[in-house]
This record gives sequence, C-alpha cells and structure tokens, in this order.
Amino acid sequence: MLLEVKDVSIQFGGLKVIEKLSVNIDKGELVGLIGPNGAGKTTAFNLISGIYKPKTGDILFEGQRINELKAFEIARRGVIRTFQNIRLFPNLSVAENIEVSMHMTCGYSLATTFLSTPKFHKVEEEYRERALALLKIFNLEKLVDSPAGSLPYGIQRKIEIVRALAGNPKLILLDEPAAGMNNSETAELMALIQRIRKEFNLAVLLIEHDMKLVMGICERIVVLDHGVMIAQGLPKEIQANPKVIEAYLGVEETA
Amino acid sequence: MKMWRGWLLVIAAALVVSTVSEFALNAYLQQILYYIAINIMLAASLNLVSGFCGQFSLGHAGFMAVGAYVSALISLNFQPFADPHFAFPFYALAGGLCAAAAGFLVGMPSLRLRGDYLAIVSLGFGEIIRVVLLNLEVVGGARGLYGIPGASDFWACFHMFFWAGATILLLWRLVHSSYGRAFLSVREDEIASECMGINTTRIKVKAFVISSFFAGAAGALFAQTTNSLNPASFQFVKSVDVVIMMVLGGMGSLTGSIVGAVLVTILPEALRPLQEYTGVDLRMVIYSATLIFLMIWRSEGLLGSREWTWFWRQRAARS
Repeated sequence: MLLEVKDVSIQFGGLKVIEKLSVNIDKGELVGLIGPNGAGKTTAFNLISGIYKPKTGDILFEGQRINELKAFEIARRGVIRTFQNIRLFPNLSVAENIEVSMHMTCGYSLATTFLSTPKFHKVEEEYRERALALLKIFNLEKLVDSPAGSLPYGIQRKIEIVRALAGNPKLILLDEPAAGMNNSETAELMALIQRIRKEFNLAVLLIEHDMKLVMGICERIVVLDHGVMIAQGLPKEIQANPKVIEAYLGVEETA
Repeated sequence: MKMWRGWLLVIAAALVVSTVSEFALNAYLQQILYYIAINIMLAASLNLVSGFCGQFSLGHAGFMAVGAYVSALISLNFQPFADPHFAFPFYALAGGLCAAAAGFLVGMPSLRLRGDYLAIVSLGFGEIIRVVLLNLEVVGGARGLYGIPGASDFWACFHMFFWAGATILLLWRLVHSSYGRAFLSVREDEIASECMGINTTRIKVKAFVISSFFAGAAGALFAQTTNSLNPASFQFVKSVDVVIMMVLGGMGSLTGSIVGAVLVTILPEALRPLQEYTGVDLRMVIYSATLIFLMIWRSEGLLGSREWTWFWRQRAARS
C-alpha cells in the first residue's frame, strides 16, 4: 500500500470539513476523488500534501506516518501536487519553474555554485535537459524559455503537471487538471495522464468535475460529500450508486 | 575557463577604477568612489534577500555596523598586519563572518514565519545594535572609534572595488543557480515552493545569512577607509538609503543595484554646488523629488528585474 489515509478528520472552527476519511491508494493506481462543491476534496489534498495537519487520524506513506511532516518533507518523500488555482511561479521561465522541483535533489553545493566549477555547469546542463525531456512529453518544449505567467491557462495547467513530475513523485495529486479545458484538450490530457503514469510508474489521485475524464480513466473512484466519504468503487458502481446521485442531484421531493 | 573568467573581469574592473581614481580624481572624489563601492555591496546584498527572495529587510545598517566595528576593533587592538593592504581581505572576511552570524540569529526565528516579520525584526535589530554601540564604552560610545589604521591609496581603492565586484560576481552565480531558483520561487509563491520540496525556512535563512555577510564585509571596508567610526553612521536612515538604492535600480536585478548605488551616492554630492549658488539647501528636496518622480515613472526601478548583460551577450531569461 502506497498511501493510507486512516480515519482522518479536520475542522475549521465548528465546521467539520473532513470527517473520518479513510482512503487507500496502491502503487501505480489511478484514483478519482469526486464530490459536489464544498465536499472537502481540496482540503483532503491539503491534508495529504501537508499544508493542513489532521486533527485526528493518521496518514501513512509507504508505511510511515507523514501527518506531522512539513509540506516540503512530504514532497521529498514523493507526494507532489498541483493546485486548483494554478500556482506556477509567474515571473520565472517555464524551464526555471520545472527546475525548482529538482532543487530538492540539488546535485551541487553552495561552494560549487560560488566557484562555478565545471561540475556546476554539468549539473545545470542535466537539469535543463531533464526539463526539456519532460516538456517534450507534453509537446511544450518550444515554450521552455517563455515566462510561465504569460502562457494560456490550459498550458499553465500542463506545466504544473510537468513541474510536479520533475520532483520524481511516486504519488501525484492532480487538483482539477482539466478545469477550463475544452473536450479535445481534455481527451488529450486523459491520454497524457495515462502515459506519464505508465512511464514514471506513478500512482495518481485526481480531483475532477469532468465526469467523462473521471469515468474514462480512473480505476477507482472515491466520492466525498460534506466531508464524509459516501461511496467508493469502480466507475460503473459509482454511476449507479443512489447515494452519489442524491449528493449530486438531491432527492426527488415526494408530494 | 568559466571558473576564472568572472574573476579576471572583476580584477580588471577594479584595476581600471583604481587607476582612474589614482591619476584623475582628488581626495574628495576618491572618497565618493569608496562610498560607491560600499553601497554597491550593500544594495546588491540587500537585493538578494528582498529582490530575489522576497523578504523585506530593514536592518542592513545593523549588519554593516557589526562588520565595521569588528574590523575596527581587530585593527585597533591587535594590528595583525604591518602592511594595511594585506589586511583588507582579512578584515572584510572577519567582519562579514560576524555579520553573517548575526544574520543567522536574526533570520532563524523571524524567517520561520510567512509574511513581513523579517522587516520588523531586522528594523529592531538595526536599532538595538546602534543603541548598544552607543552605550558600550569598549567601542567608544557616542564618540566612536578613532585612528583605525586602514589606508586610502591605489591599493585600498583596488581592494574596495575588488570586493564590490566579487559581491556582484558571487551573487550573480548564486542567483543563476538552483539555489537562486529556489530563492525566486519563495518570492513568487511560498506555498507552491514548499509543495515542490523546497525547505522555505532554510532557503530564506540562507539568503539572509549570505546577504548579511556581504553587508558586514562592506562595513569592514567602510571602517578601513574612513579611519573613524561612530554609531551615527548606522542609523535607520542608512538602512532606508540601501533600500532606496535597491528599489531604484530594480528589485531582482544585480546590475540594477550597481546603477542604484552609483546614482544614490552621486546625486546628493552632485547637487552640492547648487546649495552654494542659491544659498539654500535644496539638495534633499531635489533628491527626494527625483526619487518620487522615478517611482512614478518607473515603479519597478530603472532596470526592473532585468539585467544588463551586454558583456556576456546572453540575455538573462527572467524578465
């Protein structure tokens, strides 16, 4: 088991945002996290990635507790996320954005930097090549030197995924990767997610409102409503689950 | 090759400046030249913390004071060098290291937090240092320290500009490295930076300590060329001056810091004849009006976050 979320709860003031959430993710699995607005999906991401700390319960990654760890430590262990409201570094170039994620395994010391030794230039070269190789997967290698903040929304989303990949994650958390994309872009993104998952041997947990995408690629779906997990299972089961339909559409009023 | 090219350039530039200073300038202009070198170090090092790492600091005069007093005390009490010229690098290092240690103590608690805490803490630190110096008899209290050996000749000028150049060169290498990208990512979006595995506290402290080092080294050189020190040189206004140089030149531009330091040092001096002509001290009025005008006209500073790289012919990609 790669990630185990056990009975995790968090509340802000009196509002219980997540209550007793338990989710497991296996190596290489692709799991969808869905639910109506305000169900607590992004909060669940914030808990797993260490931005919030759970009030109760445990989060285990590769068998080790990570609830107390800081966000950067969790990222270094191999859980890297993207953001619902894109958080690229807008004034840095695309390459620099991607290379920031490589800093955690920085191949040279401060002294090497100050001396500008051949090793420094060799490692920098490698960084750039890796950034280019990752961008090639997404057909974005032409944009390598453009400032990230000036690019179209859909491309920024993809670059966020590339940036996350550059940190060598074992589990990648995608927060609404297809938000704001049209049908053909979404289809392309689905293929890309499948591809990087195989190529990098990744587990993926994704939040998405686009049901075509979720039902199309997820092996398993977890449904949240008001902070409580109301269903979990194969896409087909979820589609037929009355509780899920109720959460999304409400109950028919009986006269 | 790349290792040495930068140093050769720095040495060449320092030699040119000191040759010009030796043969073409009088003592008054030489003094201004020294201040330019010191201010370049101060502005560029503050730029590392504020311009590149996005942490606002208002205590640069404090770190400068630490470096200045350390170098002055060593030279007055121990006189480790018979020839003052060998002493310059030693004092700069000693002053810089002490200031770096102070920077660590100030930065460690205040940089753990997100936000502008550093501005308040560093401001407090600068004032505390000044008041302590004012009341310590060992360092002369309000009278300050007199008769610091030092020197102000060709080689002194060379050392000053060598250090100013070295500051720019080393900071340039730093901000164009993986560490530099980490600094920038903290400035751009601290949460995203942390989620990409950057230990943001540590990287901020790193930037702050390195910045304090160069401020301390600048202070040490200042002490060695002025021959006397007193706490009034390190008032809050001095920190603000450095902030002005940095903002004027452009936050996130090292070459901008050079431009800012040169302008802010020369401008008040260049306006001096005006005072003799009109009989009224208009210097500060014009100086501040110029700053206001510049901030309206180019609020991102003269160079913004771009660099002047005509020499290298490689435009830095960050714009």
